[in-house]
Amino acid sequence: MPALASAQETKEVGDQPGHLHAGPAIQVPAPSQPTFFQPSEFRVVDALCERIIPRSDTPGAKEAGVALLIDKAIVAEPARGASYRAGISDLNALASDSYGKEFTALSEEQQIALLTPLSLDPDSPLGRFFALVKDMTIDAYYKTEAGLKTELGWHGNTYLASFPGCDHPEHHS
Amino acid sequence: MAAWNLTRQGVNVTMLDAGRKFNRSEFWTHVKPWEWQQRLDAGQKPPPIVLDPVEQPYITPLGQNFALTRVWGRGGKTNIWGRVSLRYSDLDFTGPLRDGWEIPWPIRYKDIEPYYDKVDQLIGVCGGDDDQDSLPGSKYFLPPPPLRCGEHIIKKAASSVGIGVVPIRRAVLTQNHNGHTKCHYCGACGSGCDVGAFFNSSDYLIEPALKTGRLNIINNAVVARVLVDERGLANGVQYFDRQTKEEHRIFGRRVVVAASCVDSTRILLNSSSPRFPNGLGNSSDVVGRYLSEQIRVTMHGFAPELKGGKVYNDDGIGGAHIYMPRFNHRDGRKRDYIRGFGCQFWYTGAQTDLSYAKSIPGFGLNFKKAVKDRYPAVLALHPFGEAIPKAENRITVKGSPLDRYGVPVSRIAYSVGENERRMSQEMYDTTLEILHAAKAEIIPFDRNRLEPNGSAIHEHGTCRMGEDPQRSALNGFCQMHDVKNVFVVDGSAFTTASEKNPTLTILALAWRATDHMAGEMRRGNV
Repeated sequence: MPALASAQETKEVGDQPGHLHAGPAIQVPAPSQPTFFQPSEFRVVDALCERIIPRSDTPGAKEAGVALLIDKAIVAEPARGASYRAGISDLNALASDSYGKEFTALSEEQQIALLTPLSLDPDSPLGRFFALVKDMTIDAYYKTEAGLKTELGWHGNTYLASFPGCDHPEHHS
Repeated sequence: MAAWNLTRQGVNVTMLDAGRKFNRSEFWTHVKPWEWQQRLDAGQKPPPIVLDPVEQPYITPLGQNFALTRVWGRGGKTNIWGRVSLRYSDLDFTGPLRDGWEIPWPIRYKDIEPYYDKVDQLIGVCGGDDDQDSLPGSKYFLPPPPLRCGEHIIKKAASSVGIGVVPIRRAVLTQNHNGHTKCHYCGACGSGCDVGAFFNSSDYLIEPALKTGRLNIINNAVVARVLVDERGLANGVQYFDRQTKEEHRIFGRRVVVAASCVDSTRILLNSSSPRFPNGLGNSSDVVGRYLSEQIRVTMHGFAPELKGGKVYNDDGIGGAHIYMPRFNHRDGRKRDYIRGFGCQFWYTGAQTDLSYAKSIPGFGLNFKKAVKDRYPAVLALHPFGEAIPKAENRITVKGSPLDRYGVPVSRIAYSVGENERRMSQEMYDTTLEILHAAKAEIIPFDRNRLEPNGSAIHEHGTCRMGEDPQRSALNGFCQMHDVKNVFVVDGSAFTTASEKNPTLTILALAWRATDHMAGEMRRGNV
């Protein structure tokens, strides 16, 4: 069993003092199809997330794949699914009442105008839905490479020979 | 620690481990947050360090959750612990003497000081030169890591209002030490260290113990009961194979129990017999009672001088580099609560947890910029306060459902009371004083909120030591009053919880207990 023997060897090396990085992640194409959301629902969530964290000089939620990550989070914790199903439907109803179109057919400005009162009213059903999507967008976006590294500039979890700490004398006591 | 100290003194030890060794090369240490999801999508799983409660349940009364974290496997929770290593002081050991609440410890600082010194030298603890009454110092600290910007700002602000903040003491190697490699500041310690740069029992104690040739480890051995002979002495244990569920018994002349507080207590309570109807060594009825940990609150603010500034790699040694030692005993002012609190500052600076963003109002481009501007400026304040021991906070097994081996599971009934609520108000006041002094923007908070019970992951007190056998289960050497050849050397032996993290004291007490045990063996007393 040569394969087993070599796996064993790697372990032994890894358990010696010294630095050995864990192997690279298996590269698989990101799944492009949501599991929980219907295609029409997914388009609403994708647009809503992009309004919460839009593209600036860095990627927004759409480019970061946030709606798919929310889909995965719902699959992992299905109790959240019902709020989404109802919220998407209510949001489309509100868009139809206000503009005679579904949410995804509205212009960016119209979407913002529709969402602004919801963001200020966390006690209404649609306000609660907005807050839920906002929280889950934050959780998802700032864990992606686009959100954490490109947007925020995080560059941690890496080998450093020394930790320099703060280099501003004015911060020191 | 017990296996290491006994084998090096010539004692043959069989260790029953409820799991197996976690190999460092399997840890997901250098896995960035987005790669974590990619790996899961590809069907990979991180090593199962934390025990799944579906595999091994515990129960709590309705509406009284206890967030228990257990690790079954070699080295237990030290594989992923927080590494904060604070010495208890006589303020902790004699607290009950001063305020009259429950029993005092049977030991004082002078009894344990030589063992703290030995533990510091063995495992490597970094820290500063700031010995004080509530936080005794050490001659053996490794250099402390430099502070992050936000930590300097907290220290300066606290100092301006008379609150002392010192380098924290952590069992992280800032230099190579005793053949162990120093930290490389990747900050992913919570997934296990891939080079063993912080103390863990597996690499630092069990590997050397194995080299003596006197340690035999049985993996996947889930201990159910300690067995006793007709003289009322322990003579072995009953255990179940975690994979086959087969029952086994193994015999020995002394038993050391160190399964972490909750599981050790479960084993003792399940070890009932005609001679010990109330569980092993429990004639006092204290075993299972006085469960205590720390209450904690969390406050976040943003330092104005750091907003919109450069983003540093703030990983450092993973977690706080500074600590606020207890001070509430110094000003002579009478409090409406007893005991004390200290403060840690985990996740100050640019970290991977962005939950603060949820408290920033609005959405869109302005929201996105507000999150980014605050990212390097996060100040995190995290006080820990002692929860006092109460008889009704207890672990029981009678009437509990049975686990997959047919053994009753733990029922944990724990709540915090008025003393903790009152103390938490001064904990909030103190964090606010520091944040105001720093002119920080403060994230909205609810000053009645406490972190969930159990989330300190510091269970103590359910097999406590004391002078009086009527009110304690162990003597000052972690030896059972009722059963002289049983020693209990984990957090369950603690008489009080204090505001401090317990691991350093567990190690020192276990070293002292097993020195005593080896001596008693030589003298033919156990």
